[in-house]
Amino acid sequence: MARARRNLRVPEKEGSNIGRLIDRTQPISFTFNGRAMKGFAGDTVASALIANDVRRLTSSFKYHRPRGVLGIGSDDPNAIVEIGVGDRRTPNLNATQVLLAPDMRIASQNVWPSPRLDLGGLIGRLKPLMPPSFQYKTFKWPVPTWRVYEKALRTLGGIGTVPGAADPDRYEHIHVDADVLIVGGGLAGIAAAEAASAADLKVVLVEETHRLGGIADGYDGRVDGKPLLDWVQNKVRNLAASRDVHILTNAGVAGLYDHGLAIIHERLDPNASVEPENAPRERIWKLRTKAVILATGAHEKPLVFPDNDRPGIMLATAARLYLRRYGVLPGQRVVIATTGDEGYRTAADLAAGGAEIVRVVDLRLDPDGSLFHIMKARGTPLAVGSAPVGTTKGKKGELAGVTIANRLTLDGPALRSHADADTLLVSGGWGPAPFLAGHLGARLVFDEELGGFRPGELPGGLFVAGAANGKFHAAEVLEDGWRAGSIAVEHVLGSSWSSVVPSHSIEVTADDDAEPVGMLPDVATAAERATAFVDLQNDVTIGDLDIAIREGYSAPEHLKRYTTLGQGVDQGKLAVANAAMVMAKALPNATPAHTTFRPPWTPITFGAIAGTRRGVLFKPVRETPLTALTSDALREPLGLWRPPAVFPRPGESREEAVRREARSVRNGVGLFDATLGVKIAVQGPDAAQFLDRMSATNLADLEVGRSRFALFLDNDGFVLEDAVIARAENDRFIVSAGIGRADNLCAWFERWRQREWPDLNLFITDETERWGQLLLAGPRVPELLAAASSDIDIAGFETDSYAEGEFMGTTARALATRYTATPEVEIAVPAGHLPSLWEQITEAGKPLGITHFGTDTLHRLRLEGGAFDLDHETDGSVTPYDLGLGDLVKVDKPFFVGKEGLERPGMTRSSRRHLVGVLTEDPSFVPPPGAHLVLDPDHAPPRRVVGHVTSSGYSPTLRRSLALALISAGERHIGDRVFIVSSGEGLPAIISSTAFFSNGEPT
Amino acid sequence: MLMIRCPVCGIAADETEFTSGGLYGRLEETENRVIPRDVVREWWLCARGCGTWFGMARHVVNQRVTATWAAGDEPWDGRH
Amino acid sequence: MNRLSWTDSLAAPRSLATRSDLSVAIIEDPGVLDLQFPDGEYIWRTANAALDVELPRDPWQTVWIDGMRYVWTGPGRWRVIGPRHRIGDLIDRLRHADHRGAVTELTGALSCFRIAGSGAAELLMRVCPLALGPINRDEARGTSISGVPALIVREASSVGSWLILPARSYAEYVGLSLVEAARTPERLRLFEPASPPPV
Repeated sequence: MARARRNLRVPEKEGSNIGRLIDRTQPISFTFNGRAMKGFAGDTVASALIANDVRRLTSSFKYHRPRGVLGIGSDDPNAIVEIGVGDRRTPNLNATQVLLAPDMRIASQNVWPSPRLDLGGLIGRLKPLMPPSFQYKTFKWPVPTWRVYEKALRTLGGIGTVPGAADPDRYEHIHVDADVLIVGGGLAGIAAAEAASAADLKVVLVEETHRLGGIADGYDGRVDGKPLLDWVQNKVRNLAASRDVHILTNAGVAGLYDHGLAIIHERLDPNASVEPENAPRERIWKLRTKAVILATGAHEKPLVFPDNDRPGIMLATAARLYLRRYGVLPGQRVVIATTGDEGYRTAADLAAGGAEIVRVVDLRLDPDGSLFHIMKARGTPLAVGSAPVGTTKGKKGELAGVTIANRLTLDGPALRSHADADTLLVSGGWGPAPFLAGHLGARLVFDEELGGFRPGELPGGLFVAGAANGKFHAAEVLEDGWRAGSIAVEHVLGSSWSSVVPSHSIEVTADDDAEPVGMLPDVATAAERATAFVDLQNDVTIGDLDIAIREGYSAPEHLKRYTTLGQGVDQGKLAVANAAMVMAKALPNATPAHTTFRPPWTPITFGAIAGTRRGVLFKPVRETPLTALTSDALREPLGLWRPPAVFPRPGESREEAVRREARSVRNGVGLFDATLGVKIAVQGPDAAQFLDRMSATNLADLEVGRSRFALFLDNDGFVLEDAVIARAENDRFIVSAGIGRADNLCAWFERWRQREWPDLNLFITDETERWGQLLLAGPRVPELLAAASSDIDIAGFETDSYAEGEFMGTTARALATRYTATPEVEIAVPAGHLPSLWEQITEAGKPLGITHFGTDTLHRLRLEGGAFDLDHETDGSVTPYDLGLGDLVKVDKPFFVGKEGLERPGMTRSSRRHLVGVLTEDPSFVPPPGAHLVLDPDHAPPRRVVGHVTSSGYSPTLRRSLALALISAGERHIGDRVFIVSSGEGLPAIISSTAFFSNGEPT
Repeated sequence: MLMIRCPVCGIAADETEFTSGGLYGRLEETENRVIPRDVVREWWLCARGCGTWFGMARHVVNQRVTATWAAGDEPWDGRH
Repeated sequence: MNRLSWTDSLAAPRSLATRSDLSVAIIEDPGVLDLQFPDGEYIWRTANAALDVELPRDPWQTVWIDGMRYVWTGPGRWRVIGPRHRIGDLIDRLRHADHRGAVTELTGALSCFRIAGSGAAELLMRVCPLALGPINRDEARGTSISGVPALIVREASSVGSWLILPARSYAEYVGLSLVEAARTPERLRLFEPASPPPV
């Protein structure tokens, strides 16, 4: 039965500054776990839930302990909820950072089967069986039961579930340049921005929340005679009006990278746009800056003691900020435990707001600050030199009371007292948070007096200011911000810059230092230590750290991985300082260190990362000029292209279409879009010499008007690319290659020309995109071409001829090729003419039965001819000898690229794999590419694999299956039997030469 | 992500606009060279820009670029 | 069979996207001439004399004369971009000059987009990683547009006007990404006076 929900919203009061961010004239309805609730415009999800007395928001990650709101910013480890429904449902949002919107649907996560009844809580009972790193030692046996474990773990573990529908929103990226990036829009950031903009530098000020000012509104006082908040508003107005400053709110720095790159993640509201369907929901800024100032503030540290994680326990400063900003009380019976003066500020505020302050527990033995004395004089119940040492819970696991003990003698029940309370506000002092410096490899230094980390040595161009730099009083913060801004200016300008530090009259109460306190009490039992949480998000306790240290792990990185401390999505923001204090005590000889904070600083959506690279824009696609004319084709990706693989007729299967197209080419004439090939012009007096050095093949005696098939090797002697080289003129060559590798041939040529032989006189031009190219293949090609007007006598072309001239009124090139072992001509015309050429040739070829064919068919035809295909038969580790192309290598050339590599003994070892043919005994069986070949299929495994199938297909011409394979010493085993392993069986085949078929006859 | 300025054409851009190309020098001079934990001299290509290979001296640990130069214009005396 | 006709990329010329401060269009496939000459004053003057223009010698500068734009694209390298029917004349002029280099017609290799208006720079910031500030009018850069290699030219117009020239095979992809980038309705108004955020 749910208890009655109280209204924890404080009523409006004349002249008070309570609830200044909410607009009580604009109520907002929303639901939480299906229950209808109300909030106001200006509320965050967290403040609205607190107002509605929602104590328990979620269950913790590992033990499913009930948890509530702890803080008011991105450092809160508990307030993770799911918002929205359907295709806009977003998991893992931090309730403290999301503004409430009308009709919002908010739900708890990590509760199963329902928020009211979380059976996951039973896991908590199994805690003794789940010590740190238990996951590495369990779930291993018996092996088959892993499937059962996996399913259970996936349901019970983790946070949030992925939405089931595609994301309907837009996301985008933008590149921006600036001089100074300031991270954090609090007092220090504002002061730094003022300083930097005074030097006319371009400043970007980035603030994670939707408002500037940081936590200045948690303090009273005056600056230059004005109330603190008014003074800040004025400064912000000036910055916004400046042409040198750009302010981003709802934007967080996701990561800092080399050379001043910052990735900023900005959250937007498309509904605020004039075109909501076009406005992006999130934007990534890729900002290059010359200086970065971290004004990221400090985190208030929670206290570590047994059962310190119950719903109702909140950070003290956060609690009074909730009251001041949203007019909500965290509860009605409040205990405050503090190691510094912040607790008293909060006590004063909450008392004024109507809460009952049951006790203020000061962990210091002898507090002496002015705030302490003020609250004492008011009669606030105080317990000095005491500490919370435990909490009790109510029916639903929320806080019901606090056990307090005197610090000097923490032993024995007599000295402990108990206070009934629904709220415990804790303040362990401030821990500076300059952790973004970790993204650039900076290590922070632990300050024992502070109980937190300070910046140590920082890389050039990175500066820290304000609370992040260990300055906590307003006067110090402003001065430090201005100082950082000035130093950043000097860094950008590369010279000194004198600025007058503005002096302010600041009347804000100065606090005494907070005492850094690790875990209390010292005499806690093991059971108690096992419920003293250090990392709330990942459920890591002092007990876990004890075990890890006992098992010998003493380095922070080891402790982190062993216990999972700091591995949650909050990366342990509120745990780091406390963990260091605990470790400093347990390992006195080690230097306390923090683990590395990594990008993203807080979770960001995949949508933001993808930006516009989704759907058709996912990655670049390249099109030939014929894409529109070949819409009837089945396409197959080839690099970034998607050429037609085959053109199936209605009712035809893919394989049937390939066979039909192949038959048409062999018997008539086929038309193929050959535009994809690389075409490189190499010209100049040294062009011939250059190509002869680049290729293993002899090119010196290539005649003008002829072409030759040539191999290019990489530096190690392996086949890099194969190409047809045509000599158009004495000093001009055209190199045509397939799509081949990612490193294109042109870049390879330039690399050698520029880096190795800069004195050679030649020029290289990539002509690939200038030309559209068709391949005409088949015995009826001459007939077809007879009808075309051309000054190139193509019909009379012999194989390997090359000519340039005119074809159908446009400049053209023709190459008589032999890709498919049929008469062929490759005709190239300027790209824009290609669609017209395709249409006209198709029309003219109709009486001859011309057929469009695609890459599948080309490959099949080439397979019949025993020709190899770089992509299929080679993998970067095949030599020309392996391919049986030894006679294409002119070994006695004084130099060619790869010559030395090829001469290594291993490259001509007789056991190397050779490219040979494989003819299956069953002519209808087509062995799948990649199938392994063995000598004895009946041998028990492991069997020696002698090779693998590289290409295969059914030959309509020879009416049987053909395959190419790389087989150990294959050339010496022609005629021998081998077995193809397929579906567990060994199917017999004979090794053959690759010359399956020549001059129209099977061999 | 490095920000690189091409010494030949002046373009300053993210390293994705460039291609890295191994140790600086002719091929036979650079084979089997060990890279120390300080400044390394490398070839880089202004791939999306002017298409020229140039040299860069970069500290391998802190990524500071100490010099860039056009081939033939090395900022040291004698051979590398 | 008849004379071949020319098909422009993406059925140019046509408008791809229009807003009050921004237009994205694809124009007719340009004529393109690739020039590579050896270093040296004599060669440069010879080429200039043949073309009747002074080829820019500073990196990425362009010279716009009478509808033809001469762009520096590398040491000793230039691209000439203009109407297709004008290229043949340039080739003829260079044919008999002693330039000792390579003159290659690449008409058809490039497609050409134009983005114009006060919102053009912001669109370019979404698809191009270069800092645009240092690019003056009548200057070009070789860069990437949505990951695809492209030449960009800042035209002399007083309002923003940029040409984007990717290889033809990428035209469809570049067109789609420019249209996508043009969808964002509101301008960022970088480094302009703005109303202050809440405190």
